Amino acid sequence: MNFNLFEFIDIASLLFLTYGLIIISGYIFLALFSFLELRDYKRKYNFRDEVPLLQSSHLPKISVLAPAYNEEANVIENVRSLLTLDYPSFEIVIINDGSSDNTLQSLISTFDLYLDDVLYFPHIHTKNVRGIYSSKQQSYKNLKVIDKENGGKADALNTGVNCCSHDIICCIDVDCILERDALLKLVKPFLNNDKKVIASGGIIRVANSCIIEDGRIIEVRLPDTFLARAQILEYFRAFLMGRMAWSRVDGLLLISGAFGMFDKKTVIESGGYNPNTVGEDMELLVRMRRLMRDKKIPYTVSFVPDPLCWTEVPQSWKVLYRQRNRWTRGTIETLGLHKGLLFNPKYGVLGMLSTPYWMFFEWFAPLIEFAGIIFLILMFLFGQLNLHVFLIFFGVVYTFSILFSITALFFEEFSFQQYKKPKYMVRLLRTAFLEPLLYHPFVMWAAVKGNIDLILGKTSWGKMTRTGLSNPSKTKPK
Amino acid sequence: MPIGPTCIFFMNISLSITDLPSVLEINLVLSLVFFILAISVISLILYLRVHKNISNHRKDKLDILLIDFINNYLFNDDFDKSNEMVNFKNKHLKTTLDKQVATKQILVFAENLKGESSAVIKEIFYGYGLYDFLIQDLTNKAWFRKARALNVAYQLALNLPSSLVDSLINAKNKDVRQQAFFYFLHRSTDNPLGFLDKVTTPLTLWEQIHIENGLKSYEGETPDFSNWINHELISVRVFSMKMIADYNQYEHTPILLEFLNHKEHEIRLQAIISLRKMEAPEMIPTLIKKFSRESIQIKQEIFKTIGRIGHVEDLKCLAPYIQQEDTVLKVEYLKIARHFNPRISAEKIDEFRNITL
Amino acid sequence: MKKKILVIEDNPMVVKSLEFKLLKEGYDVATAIDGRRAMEQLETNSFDLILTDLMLPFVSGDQLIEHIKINHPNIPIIVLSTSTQEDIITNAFTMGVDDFITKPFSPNELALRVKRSIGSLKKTTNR
Repeated sequence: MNFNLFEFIDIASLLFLTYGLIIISGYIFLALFSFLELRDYKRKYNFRDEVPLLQSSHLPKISVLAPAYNEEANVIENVRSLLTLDYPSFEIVIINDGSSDNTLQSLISTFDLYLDDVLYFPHIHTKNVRGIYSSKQQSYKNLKVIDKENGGKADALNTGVNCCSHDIICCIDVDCILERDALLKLVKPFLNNDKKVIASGGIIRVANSCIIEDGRIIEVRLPDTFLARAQILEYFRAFLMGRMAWSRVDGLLLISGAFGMFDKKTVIESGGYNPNTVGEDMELLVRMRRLMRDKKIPYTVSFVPDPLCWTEVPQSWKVLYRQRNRWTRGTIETLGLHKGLLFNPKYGVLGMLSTPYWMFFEWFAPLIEFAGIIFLILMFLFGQLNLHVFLIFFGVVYTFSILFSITALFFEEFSFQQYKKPKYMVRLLRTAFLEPLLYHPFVMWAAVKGNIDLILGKTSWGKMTRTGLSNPSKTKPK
Repeated sequence: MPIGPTCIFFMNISLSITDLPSVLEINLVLSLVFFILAISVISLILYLRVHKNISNHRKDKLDILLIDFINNYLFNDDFDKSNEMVNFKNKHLKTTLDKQVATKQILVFAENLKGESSAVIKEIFYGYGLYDFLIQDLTNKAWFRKARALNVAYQLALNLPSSLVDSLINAKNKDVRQQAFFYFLHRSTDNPLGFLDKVTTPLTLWEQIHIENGLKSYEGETPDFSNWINHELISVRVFSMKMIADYNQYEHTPILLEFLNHKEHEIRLQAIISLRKMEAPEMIPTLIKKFSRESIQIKQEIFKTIGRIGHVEDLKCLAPYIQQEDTVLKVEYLKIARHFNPRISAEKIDEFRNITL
Repeated sequence: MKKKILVIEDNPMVVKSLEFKLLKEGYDVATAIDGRRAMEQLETNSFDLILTDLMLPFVSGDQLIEHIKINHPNIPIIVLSTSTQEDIITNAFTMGVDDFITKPFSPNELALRVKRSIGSLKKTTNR
């Protein structure tokens, strides 16, 4: 019995060792590539040459798609703010996904809407559309409201894709706050690239506690709650270190559902959003990439690090738990649907780097960590745990964790420096020290539970997707 | 994300059982290394903050001095220009940062003032010795310095030695290339688009829009865009066709009409769009004739053209060529049909659909 | 007595230059860097001319012009703006501004137009 245990421990140790090495080198590369990408971006940013372009008539027109499900409290204010974006030619398409409250009615009365007999071609199959509304007023002429039966976020976006008029679409969460020049900054990669650009995404910033006036961020403030601050660090790590680096090697797999721009034709050709997964944003991009690769068309996916989109992150543990649980399921579903990419050299970076990364770092990591905890308890039970040793090892992990967070903080400082007050920096540093102990275990558990739920609830996938829209925060920073 | 480190923790804790002392040592060293690294990154952050603050402070102070000096130079007749210039240069423009700040401030002046002040602003730029600084940037290997130098040169309307800039039109770095375009565009007195003859990389839409924008402020005679209509790069040809339409150069309509039969898809497409903008209904017979053999994108443009400058009869001519399975096109067709007859109700549209298809 | 001008503009370089030039021309100059401060200035002082940008923080140029037209209808307003768009210029004149100068501007020409607008005020108040 004891002999077997040692053998087991040996094997487990080896596995943990390999995994640990992969992860460390992964993080080092992420940090390095992010740094290079941010540096280049800063240098380009110096010219700030976008403004004169606002007067050009040759800029492509953009359709902004925003699904709304029971948003009656804020939808009017949000639409007003969207209508004042700085861009020469765009339309706002609000998709009312069968809300049970007065979302539609308040839109109709505020913006003076009438049922418009719009002709469109249903490229993607969706739930039934009850009607498309336009405004009688000239000042709201670029607003369109689609009323449809409830079908979840993916289905709502697909309806928007079918009914919208322009070739570039920008999918957003209706409750996020966009900077005025957001469309212009995000469309730039589409216009200034040798390769075909199929999508571009932006950084998601945390709006909690910021001062907001008329749907604009007036002053950036650090959230008062630890939970929100921990997520700020998490978003820094994910966007400034993660996505920046992936963008450098053109291996981005995810553009947040909260804020991304797509080439409509490619979206349609790849079949639109998949309503059967809770990770529809990631799944779509992977499918679009796959399509381009299969058709052997050179293409790229772009990422813009400017702070352009602000959103409220969950302030309660319960909501956060649900959100992370869902993200985990979304990741696994996407990887499952596209397992053909994994380690497939035909797909280049996508197959050899991006998908394996997502599997090891995003899917497996919480599981392995959880297994580790069980392992620890087992050792304790068998009397193999030495407190002294435990503390020393704990020190290694802990210092590495904060080193990683602090590096992300450094990138923020180096690039956009949104938290200007010195006391904000101090508080963020304090959060970095506490976060691995107080926040991280909870998020890990939510992810593990996501795995369990997926296995147990396999038959009721469809049912789960319906809750997608009512969930308060839909932004995914991983 | 910091899940990884926790795994290292477990990996180590398990290793410990087989080989305790050395693993302990390694781990102690590792924690120490991580800790020291974390502290150094924190100090780096602090340093960046302090450094940024100091340089911002310095910059703000210098900005005030610069604005004051330039205003005196511009508007104060009692100002001892040559002496004050030497004084200012020696006293305040010592470091690279100082020179960058001065260049930027001069650009702000140039951007906001025109007329008699423009020449004076240039005089100050030379007086500060910033031209030499600019040439240093231009000859530097780093792309962003080259690009910056070109940017400053065209904004201030400075002439650079052509031996240094000519080759930059086809520079490997996109930003340098673009700034070089704008330099030639803004600096030219008689042929603002002359640089297009030397361009060998396709023009992106972004560049096209910038060139279009630059042309708006060009004071000389508008170039004849047909000069580039046979350029070897399709993007340049497309650009000149766009400009022909924007500047209403109707004399080139015949060339555009010919292009409706061009072998390149993009050129046919742009020819239709440009001719539609110029409201040339004489292209419609050709469009109808070629309709069945065109791509779906061009077919849609043809519909749009007929909607804009054609008749409902033209539209009906196309009906036989719409395949039963071409549902996308049917919808487009019906959109235009309704455009001609807005009072058609939804049911009528269905009838219309049956009659024509 | 010196004529008093209020300059409302958020670009420090432009403010300073305008101030400098207008002082040289013999006017009294007050400055405000945003709409709110301009409102405060208007409460406490009287002016013979207002020179304003349209893109201002907090209170937009349009709102400010409306405010001035209601509360101080006799003060002539000159707009100084980067915008060359027809509709914005027309809109400004409909709101009752006296002149519209586009950036970049020539300081001498601006001085002339300021002189002209201040002159027009004199006429109306004398009548």
